[in-house]
Amino acid sequence: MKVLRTRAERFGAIVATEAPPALISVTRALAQRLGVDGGALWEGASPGLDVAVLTGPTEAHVSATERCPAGCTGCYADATPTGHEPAADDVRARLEALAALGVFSVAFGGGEAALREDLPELAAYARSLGLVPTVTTSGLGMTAARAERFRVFAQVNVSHDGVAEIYRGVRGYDGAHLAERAIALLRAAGVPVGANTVMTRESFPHLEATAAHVEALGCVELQLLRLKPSGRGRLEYLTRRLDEAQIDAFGDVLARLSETRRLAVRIDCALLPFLAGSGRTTPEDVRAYGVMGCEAGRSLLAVRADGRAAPCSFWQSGERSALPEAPAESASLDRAWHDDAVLAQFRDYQETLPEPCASCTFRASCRGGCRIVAGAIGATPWAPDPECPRVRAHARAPAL
Amino acid sequence: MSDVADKVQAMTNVQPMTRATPDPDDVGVLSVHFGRSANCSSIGSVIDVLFVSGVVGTAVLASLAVLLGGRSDASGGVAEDDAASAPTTATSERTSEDEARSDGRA
Repeated sequence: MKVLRTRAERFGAIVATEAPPALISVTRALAQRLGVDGGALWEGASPGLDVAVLTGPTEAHVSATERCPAGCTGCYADATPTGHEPAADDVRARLEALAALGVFSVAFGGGEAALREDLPELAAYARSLGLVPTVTTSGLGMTAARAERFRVFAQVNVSHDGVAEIYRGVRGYDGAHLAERAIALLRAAGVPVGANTVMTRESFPHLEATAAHVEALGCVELQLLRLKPSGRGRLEYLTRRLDEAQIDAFGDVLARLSETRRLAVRIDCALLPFLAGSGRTTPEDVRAYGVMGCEAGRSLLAVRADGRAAPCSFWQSGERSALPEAPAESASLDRAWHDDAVLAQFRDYQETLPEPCASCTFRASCRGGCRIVAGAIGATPWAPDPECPRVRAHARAPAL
Repeated sequence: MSDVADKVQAMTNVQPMTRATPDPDDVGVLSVHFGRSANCSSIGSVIDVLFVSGVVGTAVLASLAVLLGGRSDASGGVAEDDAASAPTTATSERTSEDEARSDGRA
């Protein structure tokens, strides 16, 4: 096993490895055997994994641009053909700030990040700083030569929501052929490729066919994503989100996908409440195998195209956000992690979850479900995720 | 072993243990988050390991502890590792092809 890097934490350390690629949280004793010195972090009793915030993000999502010509109807970033694109020097400064924070991996997104001609150079710069770079793309603009340059990425995820009409139905944009061409070119170049699949009410019945399709295309991973009411996605969220029967069936579908497909199956943080409510797993296993719910402000930091920090990519400054209009400078990222009021709100909420989350056995991993969904559907983000089966049942239970 | 267990073994590159496995708390691994987190908008987590039997699942954690700690006496077929010389930062530029090769995928 090759250890890439270690980082001391109050509980011990996080160990980044390859073969397998993983982040392993270890106790102080094992960390010490690995040569980690926790210093003041290790004073007092270990809190175990129950820490509200890690010493820095483990993962950062960096918007390389807000430019994208696709015009997907549900674009969470509200990207446009003329969206803002930060200068390369600004992106490099942000990467330096993230590296200084101890971040392990950086996922470039957008907009359509792959349209930046200098994206491979930025990824190489990230690697030179000790960061593991990945990127998500729709496949727009991919060529054989460009795919070769994308070998600098540890993995490229291509958005693929379903075969032909299914894809078009989810995105309002006929891009399946571009995604499939990009997957083929990247695979030919030797780049590990995953598929990002957003689940909507219409596409969910075709999920197993989609998984078989992207596996046949050569994808090594299927990343399932819950639809988010963010950006343009807010407009039609209520009619496109999974219905209650689909949410209730999610755990069984997930198990079937895992059993029948060779590719790795991943769920995003917002889907953990659906899995937890399915009875298909235990809180202990979810925790032991690092299946994460909302990690915004705990191990995750997002960096917008304008340089401002955010707890996650979907959190937008606007009518419901208290996100400060911080200057687009890299030093703000360090300040944001340690002092930002919105990140503090996330941490405070997760430390004091209301019922029915407070008594949920999955609370340590789930951390209350998706704040984006809660904020869009309810009056405040600081409330239980209303689509969680447990929360749904709680709301319908007669008051005692 | 089930198909999922085979898949998890291939994915994690961890050999299943052949005898009773130690309690992960005793060997020092609190949790493991597999994969490269290649999504740009939300945290992704591999869930396949949740659907293998408890014994195999426990073996994954325990085997990782063994690999990290270099305790070759605790499981079959686990070689001594280079974890003891772990760098505090990784600065070498590697390509995805290099990583795929080290994963046994290329």
